[in-house]
Amino acid sequence: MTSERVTTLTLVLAAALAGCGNYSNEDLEYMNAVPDRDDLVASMPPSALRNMDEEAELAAVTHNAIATSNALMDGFLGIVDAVRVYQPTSRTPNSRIWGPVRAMREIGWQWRFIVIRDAPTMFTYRLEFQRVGEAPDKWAALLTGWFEPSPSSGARRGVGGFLVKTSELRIAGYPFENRGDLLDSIDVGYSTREFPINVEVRVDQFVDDGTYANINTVQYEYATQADGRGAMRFTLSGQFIEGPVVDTLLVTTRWLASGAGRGEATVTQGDAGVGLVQVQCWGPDFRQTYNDKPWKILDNFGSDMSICPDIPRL
Amino acid sequence: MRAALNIALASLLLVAAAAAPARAQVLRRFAIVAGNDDGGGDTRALLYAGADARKVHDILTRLGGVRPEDATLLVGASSSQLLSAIVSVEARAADAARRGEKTALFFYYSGHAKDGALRLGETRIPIDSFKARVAASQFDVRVAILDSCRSGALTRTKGARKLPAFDIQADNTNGKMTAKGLVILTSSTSDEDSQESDAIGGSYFSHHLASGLLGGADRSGDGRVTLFEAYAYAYDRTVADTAESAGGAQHPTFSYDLAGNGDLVLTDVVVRNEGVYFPREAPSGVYYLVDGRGFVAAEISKGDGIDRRVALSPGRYRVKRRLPDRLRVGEIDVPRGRMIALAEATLRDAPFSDDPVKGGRVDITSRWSLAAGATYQSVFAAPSGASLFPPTGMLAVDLSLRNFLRRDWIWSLDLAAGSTDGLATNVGAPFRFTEMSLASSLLVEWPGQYVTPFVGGRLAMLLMGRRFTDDLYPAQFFSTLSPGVVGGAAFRVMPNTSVVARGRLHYLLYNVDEDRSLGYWELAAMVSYDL
Repeated sequence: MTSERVTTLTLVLAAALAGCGNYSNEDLEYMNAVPDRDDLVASMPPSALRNMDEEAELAAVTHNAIATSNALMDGFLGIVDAVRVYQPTSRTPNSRIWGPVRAMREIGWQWRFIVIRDAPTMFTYRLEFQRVGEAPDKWAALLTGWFEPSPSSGARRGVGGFLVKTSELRIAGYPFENRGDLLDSIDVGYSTREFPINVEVRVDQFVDDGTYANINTVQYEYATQADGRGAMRFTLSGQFIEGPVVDTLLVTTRWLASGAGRGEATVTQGDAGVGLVQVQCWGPDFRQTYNDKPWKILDNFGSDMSICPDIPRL
Repeated sequence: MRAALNIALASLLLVAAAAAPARAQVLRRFAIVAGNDDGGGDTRALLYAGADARKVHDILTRLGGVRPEDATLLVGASSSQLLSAIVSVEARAADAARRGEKTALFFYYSGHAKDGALRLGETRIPIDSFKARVAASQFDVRVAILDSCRSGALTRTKGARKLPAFDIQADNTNGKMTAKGLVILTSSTSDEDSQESDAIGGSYFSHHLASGLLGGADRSGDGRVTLFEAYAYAYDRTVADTAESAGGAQHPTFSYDLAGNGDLVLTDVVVRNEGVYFPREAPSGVYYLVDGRGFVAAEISKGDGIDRRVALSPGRYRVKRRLPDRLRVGEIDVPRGRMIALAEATLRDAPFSDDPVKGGRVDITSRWSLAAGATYQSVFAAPSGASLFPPTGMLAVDLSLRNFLRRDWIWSLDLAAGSTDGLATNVGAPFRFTEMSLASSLLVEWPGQYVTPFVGGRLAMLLMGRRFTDDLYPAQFFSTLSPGVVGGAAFRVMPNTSVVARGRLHYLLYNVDEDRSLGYWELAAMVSYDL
């Protein structure tokens, strides 16, 4: 038998015996490097009130803030969740790559997702786009992230963060939908190593003046405990106090697993005096039980602040 | 039927000089026993040539005075291996002759013969040159027995007899030289086919020759079977059995060229004293003794008023005698070192549908069996391997076809499925593991009365998957081909039912994360039923 035949036979035998599938323990580690939506989105017990006007004001703005920020996170975490739906397209000893895959709606564009193990306990990842047919090395990153697992706390626990930055794609001419081009960046940092779980989000959004030069910044911090307690801090801008100036409030709320909670809104800019603080408490039904609102005393409710739930800072 | 050629029994035998018995010398007996089912590409494989050779080899070493170290058994050998065996035996015989011993060679061949040549697989030995080779050997006595089609070509030149018309005075000085020369027996004439029978599990000629050597041919009743007695018995029974066959009557031939006179004792049934004794008062007729595997161990034709001793190995035998309207059947146990008398009273009437000989036919022809049971498998590379593929118990079903590709070969299909819990230790993720395997095996078995060991190879298609308790992870699957080896034994507990213990060793190439060679072992306990 010639060496060519031996080689051919060996290759055929190897091909026959080679398995196929996505059966991999290591893939699970790469999947864990990407945050799961449930790990990062904020959660507060929902209100059962039919008339939303009956809900305590600071509870309502917290519900709204949570809904807005979660919707923002969902848009991007939904994309990276693909790594948990499809098996990697290619594997190397230190990386997994999904794609390139044609974009569903952005015709003529394709994406890929790369997770790299930089060290035994350090992963980085990035979501990149390019026009179909462009050079293989010409990719524009939309999302970059990192994760440092903490095996002692569980494989999915650790510290990480990711940055959504639209500038590269905007320059490349990516067809953003729904004015997505007005988003400059979302910077997320989180720690799920132990309770309380902490998530910090900063959103920079361009003012819609056609210049992409002026930016509005929104930040919030969220923490939650294993027993269902939660806390959130965020800024709120609007006409909350009568007068010509746009008011800015720093809102800090804390709640129990039952939904009962308390909030403080501190004026950081506005028509009333900076430093004024509104304190509001509510029960499990989200109806206010106490309200002290210095800039609108007609809204005050109750006189005994001790009725407010005692919720330690998280 | 043996379309090509079957038979051959060549034995060289001794005999003696007619001179004074006082000068008789001890005869050193050698045997070369060859059987080959394969006759090359232009022939159809025989079924029983190898089995016939084993049977003759067993008789010669057990009853024929051939020391085990002087007997050479060649099954499936080539012509060069056969000729080498002859050379080797001749060298040993020459040593014996130098020590003053007289020597005899018994040569037996069962297999194909075609176009004037013995066929041993793809190799050939021209019959004429073979005869010359045997005739030239320096043994005092040479007995050649060929069981193959048209083997009569070996005897047509000289002294061939189509009928056993011999009336030679037998010299029953067993083991003493009273004659010398060359004797050739063939299973058929030069223009006849030699036939096999599934019912008896062998060729007609070898079967009847073996039955005769076991005692059935002892016409004199002295407990010793001579060459002429054996031939006469085999001749009569072979012609009778094949007269109505599709292949036509088959007539064995006999050729002798002996100096001196006297007969050669081939087997001594008395000295071992182990078997079945048919007393004088036992009814006359043909008795079949069927062993535990369903094979006809001996077929004895008994006349009125005579007794017969049949040497059999220890074990249980079913006995059958055929009457015009029914059978007489029974069982008899042959203990070690004892000759057990068959009492007619122990037999009972039975319809023809209970013919125990049919069991033999079933055993040696293609047949299906179905087995079901449980298996347990585990990868060797624990714990990392177990983190991927946890040890799993499975339910299994085997469907096997025996004696189809070749006698004692088993082609088997098996299906197994099982499930268990596992843990991906690197991420602490519990999962439910499920496996299904579909495989084909090719096995060789050695059927025994109670235990049948087997070994072989297996190729399995493995389909494995797992679902994680945490739905964060997607379901995973893996499929591959896995080659392995199989070994085990079947323990017969009922006529059609066996308990099977089986082990497997398999190679598993895992190539998702990296190329890893993972072996796994598997143990199984099954119940098999012959369909």
